[in-house]
Amino acid sequence: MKKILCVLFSLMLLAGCSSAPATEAPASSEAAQEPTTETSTINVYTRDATSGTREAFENAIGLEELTATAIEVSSNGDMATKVGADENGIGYASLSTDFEANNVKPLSFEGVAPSEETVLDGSYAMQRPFAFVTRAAGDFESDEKEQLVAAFLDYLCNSTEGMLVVQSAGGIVNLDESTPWAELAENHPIVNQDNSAITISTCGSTSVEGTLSAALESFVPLAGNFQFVMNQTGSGDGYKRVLGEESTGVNAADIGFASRNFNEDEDVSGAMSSGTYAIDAVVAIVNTANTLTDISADSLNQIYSGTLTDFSAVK
Amino acid sequence: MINASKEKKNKIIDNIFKFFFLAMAILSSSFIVILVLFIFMKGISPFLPGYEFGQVDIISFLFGTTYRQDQGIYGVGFIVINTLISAFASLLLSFPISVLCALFIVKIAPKKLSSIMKSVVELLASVPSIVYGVFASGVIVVFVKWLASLFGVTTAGGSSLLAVIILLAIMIFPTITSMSITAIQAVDKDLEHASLALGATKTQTNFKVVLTSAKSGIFAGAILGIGRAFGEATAVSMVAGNKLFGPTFNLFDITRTLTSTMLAGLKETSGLDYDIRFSVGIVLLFVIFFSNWLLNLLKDRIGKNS
Amino acid sequence: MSREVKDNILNGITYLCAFLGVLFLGSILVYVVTNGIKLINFDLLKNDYWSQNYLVAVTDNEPKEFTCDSCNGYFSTKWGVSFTDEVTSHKESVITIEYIAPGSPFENLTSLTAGDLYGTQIPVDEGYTIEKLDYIDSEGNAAIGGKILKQDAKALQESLDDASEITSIYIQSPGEGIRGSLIATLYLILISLVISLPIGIASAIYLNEYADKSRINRLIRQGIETLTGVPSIVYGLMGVSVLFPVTTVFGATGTSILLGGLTMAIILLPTIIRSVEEALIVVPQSLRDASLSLGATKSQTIFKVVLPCCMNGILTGVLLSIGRVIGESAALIYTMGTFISDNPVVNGPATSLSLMIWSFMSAEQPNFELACAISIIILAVVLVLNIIVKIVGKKLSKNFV
Repeated sequence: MKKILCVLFSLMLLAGCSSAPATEAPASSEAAQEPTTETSTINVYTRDATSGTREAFENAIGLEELTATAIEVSSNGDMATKVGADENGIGYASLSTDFEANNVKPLSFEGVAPSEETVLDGSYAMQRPFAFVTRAAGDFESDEKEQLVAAFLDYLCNSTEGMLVVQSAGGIVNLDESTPWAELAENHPIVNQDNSAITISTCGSTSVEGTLSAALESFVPLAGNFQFVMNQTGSGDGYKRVLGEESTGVNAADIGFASRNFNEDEDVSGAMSSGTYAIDAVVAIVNTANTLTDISADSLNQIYSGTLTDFSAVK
Repeated sequence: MINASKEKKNKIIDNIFKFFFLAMAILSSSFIVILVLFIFMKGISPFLPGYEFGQVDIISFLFGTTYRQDQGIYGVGFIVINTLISAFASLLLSFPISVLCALFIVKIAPKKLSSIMKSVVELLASVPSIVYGVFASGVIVVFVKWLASLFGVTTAGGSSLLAVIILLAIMIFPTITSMSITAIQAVDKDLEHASLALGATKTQTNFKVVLTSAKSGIFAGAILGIGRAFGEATAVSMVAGNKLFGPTFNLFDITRTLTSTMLAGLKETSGLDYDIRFSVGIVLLFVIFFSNWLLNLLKDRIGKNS
Repeated sequence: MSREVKDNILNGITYLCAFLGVLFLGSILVYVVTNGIKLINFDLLKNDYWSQNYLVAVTDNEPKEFTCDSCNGYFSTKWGVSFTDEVTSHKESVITIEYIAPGSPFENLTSLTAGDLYGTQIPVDEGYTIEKLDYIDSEGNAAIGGKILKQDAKALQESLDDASEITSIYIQSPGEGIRGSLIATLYLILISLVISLPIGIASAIYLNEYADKSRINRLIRQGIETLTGVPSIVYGLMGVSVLFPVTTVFGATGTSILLGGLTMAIILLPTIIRSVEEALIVVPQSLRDASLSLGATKSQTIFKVVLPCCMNGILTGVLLSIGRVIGESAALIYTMGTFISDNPVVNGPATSLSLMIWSFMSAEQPNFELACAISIIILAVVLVLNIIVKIVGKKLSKNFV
C-alpha cells in the first residue's frame, strides 16, 4: 500500500516537473527560430550529395544551388518514408518505388505522367541510365571468364529473355529491339560447357541490385551453372573497382555498375565492353494529403533553390 | 636447497607472466596508435599544400558553420557543437534513469522480476543499431511530431534534434544499466550493513552508500555510453535530417552529427569528399578525448565530496 | 522535510526510472515483434538465401487428363500441376507450385543446363516457383509464359493448358532463408572472442594488478579508453587497409569473415578490458594477501584466486561483446562485404545477420518487416548464447567472498 502510494505520488511529481520546463524550452527557442518551422512551409527533402538519383534530379530541373534548409535523407526508401510522414514535404524517388505503401504520390513532370512508355519515348525527362563497365579485355582471371562475362552482357542487353527479367524486376527496357537468347547463344559457345568453377563478381551502384540479381540468377541455368558474387556499394565504386584504383585490391570485380552515366574522370574506353542496360525514372513525390498532381521543372527549381516556400504558390 | 630453486623457478614464471600481461596491455593500447596514425595520414592530407583535389583551409574547416558537399564547402565547427549537444543531452537523459533502474534491479526488485529485467537489458544491448533506427523513424519521430504540434511548431516529419537525443538515450540505456548493475552488485555488503546499523534507512543507504561506492563502475558505464552516443552512425542518420548549416539549438529543428556526416553518401564518393571524412574522424577523436577527460574529472569530483 | 517523505520520494523516482526503462525497452521489443513475427517460420531459418535456378525439360512431353480435388490454386488439367500466387518475404509476387498430380509430366523434369547435371532428373517439389515457361501453343507457335511476363497463377495455368508441347521451364527452388548468415554470425562471434578475450583479460590484469601510476601506464589506459569512442566505421576502414594483409596469410583474397572477426576483436577490446577491470577492482585485497601469505606466487594468486572471483565481470564482458558483434554493421560492411553467402567459409566473404538487415534496409525498397523478423532471430540467438554463457559461468565461477 505504502509503495503504491509513493509511486503515485512521485509520478505526479515528475509529471509536474517535466511539463513545467518542457513548456518553457520551445517557447524561448521558437522566438529565435527562422520561419522554417511555420505551418504550410514546404519541407524540401534531398538525397546526400553523392547519390546518382540526386544528380539525375538536379540535372533535370537545372538546379544551381540547393536551399540551405534542405533535409538530407540516406536512401530511396528513407525518402519515401519521410515524405510520407510529412504533409508539407516534397522529395524525389525512383519510379519503381512502392508509392502507395509509403503514403506518397508521384507527380507528373511538365504535364507528363511517369510511366514506362513516356520514359522510353523520352517525353518524361527525369530519367537516368543503369550503366555498366567491365575490366579491360585480357585483364580477366581467365579467358573462360572473359567469354562468360561477354555472354552475360549480351544476354542482359540484347536478349528477349534477359530484358524481360530486367523489366519484371523494375527496370525500364525497350523490348522492340530484342533478340531471342537462343539466337544470341550461338555466338557464345562458352555457355554450352560446365562453368561451375567460374565466379563472376559485380560491384557498383546499389540501385541496380534488384534488376541485376534477377538477370544473373536467370542466366545461371542458361550458362552452365556459373557462380556469382554481388558487392553493390554505390555508383562511385563501379568504375573504381573494375578499371580504377581498386581494380587490383581486395574489392576488385569483373563488372561495375553505375546508376548514372560514367563521368569524365571515369574513362571507360579501356574496358572490354560498356554501355547501358536499362533506364530508371526519377519521380517528384509529395504526401498523399497534398492536392498537387503536376509540377514543372521551373517550380521544382524554385522550390529546391528556396525561392518558393509555399505549395499554394505552385502553379 | 630444493626450496630455493623452486622459488627461483616461481619467480621466473611470475616475471614471464608479468611481461606477458604487459605485452598484451601495450598491444591493446597500440591499436589506438595504429588507428590514429591511419586516420591522421588520410585526414590531414586535404590541408597540406599540393593536395591533388585542392587544398582546404584548416581554419575554415574547424570553425565553419556550413557543410555542403555539393558546393565543396566543408566546415565542421557547427557539427562539433551539434554532436556535443546531442551526445551530452542523451547522456543527461539516460544516465539517471539507467543508474536508478540498475539500483532498482539489484536492490529493490524481487528476485524474479530483477532477473527478468536484467535479461531484457542485456538482450537490448545487442539489438542491431539499424533496428533502433527503424524504431526511431517509425515511433520516436511520430512522438516528436505530436509533441511539436502541441507547441504549435511543425517539424520535418519529426526528424529533429529531439528525436536524435531520445534515440541515443534509448540506445545507451542498456550499456549504462548493465555496467551499473555489475558495479552495484559488487559493492561490499559490509559497507551496507554498517550504514544500516548506524540507523540509516534502506533508501538512504542505497543512495548515499551503495551508489557512491559503485561510482567507478557507473562512470565507466557512462563513458562507454557516451562513446556509443558519439560513435553511433547508422541509426542517427535516419532521424537527424543532416542540416547543411548550423548550429542547431532548437529541439525541433533538424541537426547533423559528426558520424552522420561521415556516413552520408560514403558509399558513393571519392576524392576530397572521401578524404575529408577522415578529417572529420580526427575531430571526432578529439571530441571523445575531451568528453572522457570531462567525465573523469566529474568522477573525481563526486568521489571527493562523499 | 522528514526523513520518511524524502525516502519515499527517492524510492518513487527509482521506481519510475525502472518503469521508464522497461517501458522504452518493452516498446522496442513490441515494435520489433509485431512487425516481424509474421515472417518468422522454420523455412526462413532453414533455407538458403539464394534459390537454385533450374532450366528443365519434361521427358514425357505430351498433355494428358488429370484431376485434382483438393487444389485451392489453379490446376492445369492437361499437365497435372496446380499453381498459387504468393508473396515472398521480399514482397515479391511469385507463382508457386502447389501440387503435382501423380503421373504428371512435372514429376519427371531433367536439367538442360550444361555441365555435370545435364540430363539428370531435378527433384521439383511443392514450393518451387515457376519463373518462365517456353512452350508450343495449340496452333503450333512458340510462346512464353510465367512470372517474367508478369503473369499470375491463373494466366500461367491458362497458358499451360494451351500448350501442346513444353520446350523448357525455368524453375527456382525456394530461397530467402538466413541459414548461411546465421552460421557466418556464429563464426564471427567465435573468431572475435577467441582473439580479443585473452588479450583483453591479460590487459585488464596488467592494468589492475601490476600497473603503478606511472606515465606509461596512464598512457596505456588512456589509449584503451579512447578506442571506445572511435566510430565503428573507422575501424572498418582501418581493417581493410591495415588488417587485410594479415588475412591473406590464411588464404583470404578479399573481404572475409576472418577480416571481419579481426576488426571486431579490436572493437571489443575496450569493452572486455573495462568489464574485467571493474570486476578485478572489487575482488577484496584481503583475498590476494591471504593467498600470497600462504606462499602462492603472484601469478598463482591471479589465476587461482583473483580470476575465478571475477568470472562475473568476464561474463559481462563476453555478453556485451556478443551483443556488440551481433549488432555491428558499419565496420563489417567494408571487411566482410555485403554479399549473402549460403555456405560461409572463414576466409571467404559472408554477411552477418545485422549486415543482412543493413542490406535490406539500404536497398531501394527497404524491407522493415524482414528486418524486424531477422532482429527477432538475433534476439533469440543472443538469448540462447546468454543462457549458455551463464550456465558455463556458474560451473566455472568460485566464490570465496
